[in-house]
Amino acid sequence: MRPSRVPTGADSASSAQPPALRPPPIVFNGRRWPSDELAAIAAGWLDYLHASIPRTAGLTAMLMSNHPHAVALFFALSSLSLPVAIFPADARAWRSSPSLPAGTPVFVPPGRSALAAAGTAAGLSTFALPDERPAAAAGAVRFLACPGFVNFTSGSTGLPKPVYIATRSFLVQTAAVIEASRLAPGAPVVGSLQLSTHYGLGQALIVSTVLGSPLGLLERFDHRSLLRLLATGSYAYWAATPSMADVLARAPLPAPRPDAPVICHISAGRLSARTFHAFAERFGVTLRPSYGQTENGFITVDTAAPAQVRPDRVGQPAPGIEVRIGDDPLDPHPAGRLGRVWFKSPWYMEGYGFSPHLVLPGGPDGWRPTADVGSLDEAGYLALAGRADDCFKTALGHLVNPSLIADTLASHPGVTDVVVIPARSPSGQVIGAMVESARAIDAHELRASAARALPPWLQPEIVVVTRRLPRLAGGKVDRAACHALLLQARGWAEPASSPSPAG
Amino acid sequence: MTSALTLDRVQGIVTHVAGPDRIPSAAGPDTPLQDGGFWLDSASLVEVIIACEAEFDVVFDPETDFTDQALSTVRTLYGVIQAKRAR
Repeated sequence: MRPSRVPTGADSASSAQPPALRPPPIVFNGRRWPSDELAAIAAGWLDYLHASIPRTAGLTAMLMSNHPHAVALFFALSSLSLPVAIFPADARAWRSSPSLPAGTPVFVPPGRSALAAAGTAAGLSTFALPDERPAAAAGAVRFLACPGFVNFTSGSTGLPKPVYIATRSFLVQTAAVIEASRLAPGAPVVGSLQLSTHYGLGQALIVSTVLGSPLGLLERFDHRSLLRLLATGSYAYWAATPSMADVLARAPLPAPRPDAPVICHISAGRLSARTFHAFAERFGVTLRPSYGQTENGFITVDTAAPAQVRPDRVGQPAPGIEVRIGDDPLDPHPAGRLGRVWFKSPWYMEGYGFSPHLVLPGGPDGWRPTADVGSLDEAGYLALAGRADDCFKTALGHLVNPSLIADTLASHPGVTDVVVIPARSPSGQVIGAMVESARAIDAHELRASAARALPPWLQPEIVVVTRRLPRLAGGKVDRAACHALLLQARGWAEPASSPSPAG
Repeated sequence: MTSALTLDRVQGIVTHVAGPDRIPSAAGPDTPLQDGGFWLDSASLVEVIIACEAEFDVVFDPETDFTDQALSTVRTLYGVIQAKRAR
């Protein structure tokens, strides 16, 4: 079949369009990649993309990595008229539910032939981009003109789900991030998150694009790369995970000590009080807890004065977002009462799946349910207490809220993270706790802590202490692997075709 | 405090970070650090690196030291540290 030319943003540009967006200048491994160079590389690939995309394709896809070539490819694809699915450069994350439509062209940045071969072996229609051939006509290309992007959920409770988000929603969300953080145009941004995730794409690449800011991009996160990057200049904004902040708060520092970015948003996990205080003491910068999800991105952030920021809550709703708590968002709980977290958002996803086959979950009057339980205080600050679908019944019939147990165990000195899940014992569900700690902690100590703070029916049956919790490619805890380890600790067999422990 | 650099000591750090659940039964200096061996993910590798820096008083260079080859096995990691201490 002869491929047809896919229209670009330049073909349909009109005076009503927003100001032209360009790739941000990138600092990568000590080299500066100017915006014009990245735009020219992207434009130089357009003919190859047009020739490779079948006429019948309903979307394009790419294997994203934290590299300037991958960023240029992202911008090239974003100038076409088809949605762009963004897969991580990790074969474990290439299966999704539903799966990518057959024949969708999956583009791979140059120099990644092994990755392209792995994609082909996995059944993807991969196309390895040729070496860069910058085009002089990059100025005519309108980037971020495609209808939307597909990110994927982490897959912590099953196969990753595709999440389709309109480009305009990404841009509205980005404006909210910039407003909430009071970021000025040109404010340099640190990119240590994986750009294949909604969090990384939105709060590193798109934020720096809209600001026209330099993006200090790390190929993969490690403390030396980040400290070296921070030593090269003053960075204004860093969106990160709790584990990244934790590493930076305790890793050996070079002399002189580099400055931390002025604004640090921490999301995608539990921020411990220890990390929060250690980071502030070391760098004089207050970590700002934030809350989001792949389906929406940015939901809340703590923008209070530094002395008022607390690690046990995730801030107030972002500009344009409303949050309510309860079983029914039209009859919300009063302040202080725990319940399911709901929100309304101007930049929510279009639905799960690949356009046009989308499934949009929803509640009444445009309210969107989350899987999280939390409470709002009188000032509208949200505190999370765990996932609603984490609650389970033990074999003895007791209803368990795992967050209560996790919080108790997490308060033990030296504990950095805890996962509490139902473990399927031969006699039914029991409470299992995986505890992460950098030092050896006796499980009996943890049991003693739990015994002092929790009623008998909330005592974990199995406690396993590990240096690192098993995590998925995106950094979230791999709950299925935790379940297997808990069963292994007791010598119990994994039930055949057992459902996810997340329930 | 700086420790004497030995293959056993490096392997001890790796097994400590991996935890008992991820140590293969026949673990040795040539066991892969990542898939098919100790199954260290990127966060665990950072923990290994931090521990080695503290233990052996070296500072890794991300560009030259954090390569797939250097972080392939306990022995290759030991080799990187050994080369750094020889300078």
